[in-house]
Amino acid sequence: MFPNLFIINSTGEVLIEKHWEGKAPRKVVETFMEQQVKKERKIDVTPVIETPKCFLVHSRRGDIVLLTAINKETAPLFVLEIHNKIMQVMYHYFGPSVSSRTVRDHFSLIYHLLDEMVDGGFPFTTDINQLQAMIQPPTIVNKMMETFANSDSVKKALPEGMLTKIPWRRTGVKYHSNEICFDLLEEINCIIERNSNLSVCEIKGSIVCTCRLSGMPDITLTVTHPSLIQDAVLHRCVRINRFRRDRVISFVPPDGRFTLLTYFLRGPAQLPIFVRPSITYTDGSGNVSISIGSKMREYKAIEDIKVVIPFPKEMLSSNLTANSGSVSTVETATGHHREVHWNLPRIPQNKSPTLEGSVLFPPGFKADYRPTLVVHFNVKMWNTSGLQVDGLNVTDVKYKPFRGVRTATRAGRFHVRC
Amino acid sequence: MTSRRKKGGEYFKTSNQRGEINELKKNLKEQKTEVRKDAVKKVIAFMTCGTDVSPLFNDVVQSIGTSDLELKKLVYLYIINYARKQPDAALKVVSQFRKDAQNSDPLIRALAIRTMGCIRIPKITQHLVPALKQALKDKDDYVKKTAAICTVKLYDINKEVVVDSKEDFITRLRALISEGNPMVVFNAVAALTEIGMKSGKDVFAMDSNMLRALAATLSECNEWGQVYLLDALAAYEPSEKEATSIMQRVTPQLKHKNAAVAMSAIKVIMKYLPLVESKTTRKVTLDAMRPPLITLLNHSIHPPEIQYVALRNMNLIIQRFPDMLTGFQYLKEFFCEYNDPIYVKIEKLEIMVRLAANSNIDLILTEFKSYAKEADTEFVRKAVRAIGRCAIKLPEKAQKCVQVLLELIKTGVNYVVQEGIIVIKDIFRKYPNKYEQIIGVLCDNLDSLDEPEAKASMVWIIGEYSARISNSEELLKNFAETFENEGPQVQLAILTAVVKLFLYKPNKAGDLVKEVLSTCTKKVDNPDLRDRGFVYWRLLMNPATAKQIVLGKKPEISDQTFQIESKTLDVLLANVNTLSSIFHKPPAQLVKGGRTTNFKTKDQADDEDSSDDSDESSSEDEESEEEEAEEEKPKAAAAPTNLLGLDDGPTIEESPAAVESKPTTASPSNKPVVVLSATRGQNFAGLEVATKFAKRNGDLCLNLYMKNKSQQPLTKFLFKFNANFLGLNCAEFKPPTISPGSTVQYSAPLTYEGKISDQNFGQIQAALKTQLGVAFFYIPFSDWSLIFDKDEAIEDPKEFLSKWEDLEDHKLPISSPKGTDPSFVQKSLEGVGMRKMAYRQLDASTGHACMFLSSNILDEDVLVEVEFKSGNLIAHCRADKHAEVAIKIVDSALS
Repeated sequence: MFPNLFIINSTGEVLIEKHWEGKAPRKVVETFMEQQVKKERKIDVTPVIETPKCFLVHSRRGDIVLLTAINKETAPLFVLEIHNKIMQVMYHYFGPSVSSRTVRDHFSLIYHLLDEMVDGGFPFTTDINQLQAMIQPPTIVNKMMETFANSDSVKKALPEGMLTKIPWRRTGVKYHSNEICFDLLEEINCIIERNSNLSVCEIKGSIVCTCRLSGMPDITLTVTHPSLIQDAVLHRCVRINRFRRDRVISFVPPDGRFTLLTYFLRGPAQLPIFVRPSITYTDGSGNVSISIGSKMREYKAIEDIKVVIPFPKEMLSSNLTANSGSVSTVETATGHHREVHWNLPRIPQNKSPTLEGSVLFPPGFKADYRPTLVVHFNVKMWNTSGLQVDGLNVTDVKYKPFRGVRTATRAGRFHVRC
Repeated sequence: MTSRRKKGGEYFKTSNQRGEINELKKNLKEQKTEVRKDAVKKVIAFMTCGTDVSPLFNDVVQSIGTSDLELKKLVYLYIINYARKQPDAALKVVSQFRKDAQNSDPLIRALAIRTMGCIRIPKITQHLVPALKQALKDKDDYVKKTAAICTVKLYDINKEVVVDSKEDFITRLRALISEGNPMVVFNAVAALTEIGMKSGKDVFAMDSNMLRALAATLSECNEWGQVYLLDALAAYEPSEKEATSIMQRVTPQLKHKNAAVAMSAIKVIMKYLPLVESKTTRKVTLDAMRPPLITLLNHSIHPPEIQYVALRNMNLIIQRFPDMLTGFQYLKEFFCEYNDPIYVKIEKLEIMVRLAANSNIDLILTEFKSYAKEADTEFVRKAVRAIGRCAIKLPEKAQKCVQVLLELIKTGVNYVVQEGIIVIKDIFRKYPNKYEQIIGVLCDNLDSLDEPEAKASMVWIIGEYSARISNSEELLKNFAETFENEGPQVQLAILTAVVKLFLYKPNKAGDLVKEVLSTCTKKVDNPDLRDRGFVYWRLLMNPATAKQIVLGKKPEISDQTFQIESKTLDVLLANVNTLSSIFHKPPAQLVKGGRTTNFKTKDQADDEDSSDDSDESSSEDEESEEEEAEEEKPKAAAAPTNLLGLDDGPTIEESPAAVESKPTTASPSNKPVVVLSATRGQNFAGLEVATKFAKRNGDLCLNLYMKNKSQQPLTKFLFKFNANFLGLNCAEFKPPTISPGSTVQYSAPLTYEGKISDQNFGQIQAALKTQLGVAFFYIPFSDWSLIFDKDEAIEDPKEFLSKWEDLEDHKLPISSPKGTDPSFVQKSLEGVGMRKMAYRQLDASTGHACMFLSSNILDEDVLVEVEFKSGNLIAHCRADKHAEVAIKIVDSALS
């Protein structure tokens, strides 16, 4: 059961409240805020809080909090996943930066969405495609239509396919040029220890499909090294039994862009980049030297490199210069750290980029602080695992679609300890 | 009008609401559908932001007969929300609902059923029952699924009808399960589960046929359907054969992207696994569970909130299957990252300690060591404690752990040292006489100790090893010098340590022990300390016996302290993915087991409690809660008599500690707080304001630091407080002109003549109007010493007592206190401007005690009692008007 939902902003103001079962008093929001005030960082408020009258379950996304008060046994993950779903729908409708501002601006639309998504405390229509067929997202065209033709954002009929066995695809899709593209994206999450050992390493890979095909196409995709995707999390359109039996990805795609599958590879992997940090302390000041470079055997452009060095807030000043790229100091939102950001558009071929200089701490500050560097980068046309598309078959349609495959790798949580 | 419709948000921005409502009323009577539709939309926008639009009920429902589907839907939406306030008006519309329930369009049929279920008045039953029965047999799947859910709503309105066997609602719901459409199946399952939970009866009555039907539908349902189906499976008691086959069906769901599905699948497995004899099946299933469990921790798929719930559940699972995740590759998944929220980090630490084994301890220690160097103090402390727990858990590797602790202590970072000493004390207790060579290092850090627990631990160590520490008498003498300023925890430790010292080195410590014993027995008002002083004194008359007793062998401690008892663990594991599994408490202690309390309606909520408590007492699940409440009552009554015993003894005199100790709770408002940023304003930008409450000539005032970031000079100001918890009011506000780019500091005098509101404790809502517009913001108020006046507080115990008996008692248990020892409480409360009157130990064995404090708010006496009871704190507060505020302040000062 999902009895109620409060969407509140960071000061505890209720932006939207909706009750499906009974009516929870607004006091629960105050109770929640009292808990939040106790924490130094807002993100540290425990997600499930026990209070004398009820339990408060919340999810925090940016500057808004989704809060649900439950007063009887309900699986907390069920509540959290509904929160998650609501946010996903909002991201889909309003773009990736949903804030309290967004919620205010699209108030009645969100209220409408909530009404469709949950009925009487039960999740109702939560599939984004279906919702979109009922309630149109606010696009510029829609706004124009609303203004001039006085048409409405709420569609009048139940979407087709609501009760079919393929609810994710709408019927009667038509395109002039049919094309299907696959993006093989990989994200490297790792922790590199002080001695350059990889203590944690995980590749999160996903196959993202952009499908613009008419009719009801049936697609079969095979990849090289299918063992790599053994533990994949699949989109619901993938025929799971076929996949388990033959390691072949066979599916009727939804329309548009979607993540077909996500896989995880653990254990050592080839990293495209090395980072060698060193920090030594003498009398309250630290000498910093960080060098980075490509580890690729053949040349691949490594782009958008950013190295974040979080220093404690006690740091007085930093005097860091780089022989390539730009350096800036940023106060983090939580106030816990003072971060030095080193940005490089790409790694130059002729020299190895180095950041050097010193940081100053107040006298008496026992400096033994070893920051964990956070590194970001992008590599195009390359992936760590070597996963490639082997074959692609589109059946049940009369046309020959255009087909494309791209690969890219980027840093996820790429941490380097020093 | 059309431009208004662009954004829902603009519906709010009306200044003249009454005029608006009149206009709406007019528009609702309009002929044109579009105009009416727009009006209903506005009504709904008003409604959803809390404005009372019930007077428009009659006007809105007039549009219900419309053929326009959207308008119909909007009207239905309105009715759902307001029918309760206008039940008679709603009944007038019922005929229309029944008509719509016969409509040829399935969508309208479903909508009518859905809305009727939302009108929660008893009279609706007679109309709803026939319509619902028909809908449950409708030819359209969409209507059937809606009807299934509506049956639950009917149950909330009228229980009897639904469970009545003559009406056969349950039979019809069960019949839906054998139907093919997964959507219908899962909604029927959801309805049956919900009714079963609310009624406490097994309405489901699952048999092996239904079991098979559910298992077959499982993979075709959507994610929520799977959750309901899996939970239904987990409630069933299968045979071994069924268990094996169902587990096979369930295993693929472990990989589901939706964490609720994966966790419900784990729940089924946890329930069914013990029934299976075959070792291979067990192994295969456990192996299959491992990767999905790890996936639940994956931050790129799941937000931290979900990781937290997963970690709490995992903590239980690995207690039952300890070998499941000990491998290196799994252990690494629990490594903390510096930007994880603290609750995730702490849970990960807990699990790592549980997974610690001789084979992996090196890796774990390296990891803990790096955590102990992070910036987050709370986490660093937990990491140091975790190292200590590993040392106690793994005797063979204790040496390594101690080495790491020493390294950390040598860094000299204050809180690391203190925490390190606390855990080393435990290590000494577990391994006596093994690591005494490190005492020297500990002694180097004596000066930096300022926390009671760390001090007490250090004193204990010195006492225990006083024979081997050459200058132990000097060290203890130093501690004894400040004896009277210490809290009871440290005092007790010093007393015991000095006695030990004397027994080891009788000729060197004779004077010291006499001095401490006489202070304890003559000067101190803590009965516990005094009594222990007397006991030692008597004991020392016979040194041989004293040696036997004081220096005898002590029971060892072990790491079992954190283990959950096996039977409780069974219960908790059967409840994986519930609230019980998060708080690690069995359901009976936590949730009002199958009881169905609905949240009260808003008007009911105002007159709280009274009815709620009386109907709870009949329920058995309530037992523990009730018992506690009953226990507390006689105590509250007994408190004054205890205090009475005080004023004839000499012990009432203020302990010197109370007078000298300075407030240690750092007052958070030392720095002005930015309450309004120049860039973040909604429709107001350009002025940045930071504020700080302060006292000027004894009167409270608000210092504002205003920075003009706009292009124009600011000359006109209007500043107001909303009704607030203190009743503060700002009467005068005349800051000088602020030219662009400059900052002005202005101190606004405050009075207590404003309206008092019980909303927003600790915050004051203010509005500031300038040429730039009106800005609303909250000013946090947390420096309580500004309003508590210690000097005006009652000092005479008799006066205190008579007042105490006159006034009404307000009680509040402190839910999560930062510390529970009396010295902490005293320090914290003195820090906010209270005066300690007395401290009384009621029952030394359970640590039941109470502390009385007094203070003054706005010329009004405030009397406070803090009760220490089995590790919990309960605050009582008595005052004329401000008791509620005072008790909240006590709460916030202690937690």
